[in-house]
Amino acid sequence: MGQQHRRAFAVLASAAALAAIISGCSSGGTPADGSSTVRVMLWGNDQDISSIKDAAAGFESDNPDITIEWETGDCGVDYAACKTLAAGDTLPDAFVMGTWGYYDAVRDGLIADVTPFLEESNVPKSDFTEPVIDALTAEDGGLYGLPMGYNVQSLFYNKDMFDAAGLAYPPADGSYTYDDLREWSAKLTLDNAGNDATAAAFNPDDTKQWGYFNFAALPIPQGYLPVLSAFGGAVLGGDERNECEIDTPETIEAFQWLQDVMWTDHSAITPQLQQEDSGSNRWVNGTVAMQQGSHEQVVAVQAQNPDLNFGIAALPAGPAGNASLWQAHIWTIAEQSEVKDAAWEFVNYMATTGSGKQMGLIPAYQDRAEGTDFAQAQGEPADLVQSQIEPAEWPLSVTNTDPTGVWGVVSSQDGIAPALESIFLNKMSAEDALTGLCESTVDPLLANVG
Amino acid sequence: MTDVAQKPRRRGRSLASRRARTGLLFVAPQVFGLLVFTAGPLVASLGLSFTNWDLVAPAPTFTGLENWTHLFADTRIPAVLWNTVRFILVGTTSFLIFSLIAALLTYTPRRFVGVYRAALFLPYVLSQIAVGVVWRWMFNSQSGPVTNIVEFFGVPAPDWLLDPATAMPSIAMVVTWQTVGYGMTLYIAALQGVPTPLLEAATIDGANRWQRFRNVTIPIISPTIFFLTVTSLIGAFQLFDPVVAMTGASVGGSGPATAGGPSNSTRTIVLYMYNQMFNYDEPISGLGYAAAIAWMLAMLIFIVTAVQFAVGGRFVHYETERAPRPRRRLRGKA
Repeated sequence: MGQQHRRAFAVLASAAALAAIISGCSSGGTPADGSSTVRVMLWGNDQDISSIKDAAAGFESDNPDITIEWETGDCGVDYAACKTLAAGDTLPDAFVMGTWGYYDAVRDGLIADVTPFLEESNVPKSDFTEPVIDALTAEDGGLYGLPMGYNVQSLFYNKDMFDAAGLAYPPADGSYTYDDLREWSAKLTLDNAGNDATAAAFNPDDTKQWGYFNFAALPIPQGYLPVLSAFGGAVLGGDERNECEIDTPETIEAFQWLQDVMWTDHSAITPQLQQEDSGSNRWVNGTVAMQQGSHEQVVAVQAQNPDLNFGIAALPAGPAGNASLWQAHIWTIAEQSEVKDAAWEFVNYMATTGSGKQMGLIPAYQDRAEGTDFAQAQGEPADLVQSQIEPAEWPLSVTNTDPTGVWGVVSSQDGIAPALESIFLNKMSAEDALTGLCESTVDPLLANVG
Repeated sequence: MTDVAQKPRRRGRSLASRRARTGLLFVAPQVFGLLVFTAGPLVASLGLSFTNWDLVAPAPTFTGLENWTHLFADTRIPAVLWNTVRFILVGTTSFLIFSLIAALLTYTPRRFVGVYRAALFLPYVLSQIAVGVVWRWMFNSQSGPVTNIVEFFGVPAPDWLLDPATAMPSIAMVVTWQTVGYGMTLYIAALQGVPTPLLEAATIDGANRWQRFRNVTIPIISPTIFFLTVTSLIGAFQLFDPVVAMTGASVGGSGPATAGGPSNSTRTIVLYMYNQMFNYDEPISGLGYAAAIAWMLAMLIFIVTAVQFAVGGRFVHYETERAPRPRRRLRGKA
């Protein structure tokens, strides 16, 4: 081969490689034959991802002209990942947002309003769980996704430990109080000599069984927000969740309850114990009697300790009433998608016909939650309707949406994090840590965010 | 005659040209990578520091010097810089000392020395996040091995990562543990280059072991000490992963958004930059402000490095004597 031929060959090869790279980088679209490729991004563990793929199998067989291209990535669970994908113009056509990042995406115009699609498809909003739809409806009236499902904070308890302590099980409907919970927690905490935490001889440095775990020990809001709400408090209040309430007497009382159960009674998992082994793991493995958690605990028990004899109850009432926290996963469509119609077909199917059994969540479509998709499903514990489904409708129940985008800075080390650390590490009382925090720290941050 | 004389010259030029082209082709990928992935982003980030961009808007908005004026008025910057300095004081110093000790213990050939070196170097190739997660457990104040060792000697162990006084030194200790193998490797190479005749001459002159080390070994390996000081300091300014891994899922919440605790004691300048980039929704935040912080950090590193060269350079001993060049006529005779 002559030098000129070699050069020509090299140029052609380079051009072919460049074309291959460009075509490889380009997203799906609608070819001339009318078929579409929808890129769908998923996150979660292997079980979560396979649960979604299983649910989508019906869609793929019913819609041969729409090809689903599965991807895994953090967009949805971590909003930063969505931003970087958007900046690179590689956002998938459909993805799963959490309530915690939903309004960030709405404000940034990253996800499409599905209201026109809903109207065109004659899917009524009333087919979905009302509080979920209410929480996802933006100030402009738009709905920027359809719920895949939601999870609710409940009390998971070890029946054998309650039996051994001679205690009645917590009522599934939540008709008990935080005072009751604290009392049970002390009685269920045992040292190696067999003393419970109410006994004078109890040795907190030699504990073998703890009464209670709340994710406040990390601290994460899913742990402490339901307690605050039951006491009539909050970190942020108001319709837009951008008014500081962290130093109200009710909020202080709730944080003090959490501190007392950890450090006065020595009956709950502290941050130090949490660092050694998660309180959640300890409950699954049978060394913690009660924990506040979501339905994923059922999945954890099935996977790690199927012999655990446990029950579920709705969270207790505080001075203000019963409250829980729910958070939803939402099927969304990228605003910049070139195949919105096909993406809508997929999202609509996953939230309606294909709903249920996705990521272990409570389905938010029609009454599927109460049927075999969730409450009546094989292997599920009893009382799921009272303990998991009904609490989402309680007036004091809250979700972790962030309509005004203030939570990031408010919860950071520039905001409330140092004060919460002081409480949960027992460095300061809740009153000392929180009094005046709105004026000194949170309000200036809120004034600066927008 | 003319044609005959020109042909070899043309072939010679052609050969040199082909060699040059081949050389350029070999370095081209590296140069291309440097331009596209280093120089390009560097220039782009400088430009972005004069803009406001949340990554989602179609294009950045030019804001002039707004990010820079805000940067110098940002009251959070001194705290995060001080945290970084605290890490440097503990982390860089211990890295330099323990690397040298490790090298002194392993540079002479002896039985299983390769195993020791490999064991010390192994942590360097591990993921910082994985190391951070493991050490977070090692430091737990209930039954962590570090706690157990300290308490074995009758000393009450602190809440390592949950106490503002000990959190940053604990992170520094982990980073030292992870990087000491790298420093050791460079020190071993330097120590093996210390001329034996110099040490023997010092011994004959009556120098004891410490005097030989202080007056012969240290000056000879001083370029390595200087190199490791400069590079470890640059690395220390960029501390991020270990802080997120060790404080992000303990008290303080999960992930970079709330990492940096307890009580803001471990939030470094790079972590703050990340917070401003992704977690805060303030009027002056996002990529533009994060780029301004990054450039401030780069300038800070440049100044510190320049000072190190100006001050530290005086104490560095370079071998300047060169072997005599063979004379031209001798080469010709050969």
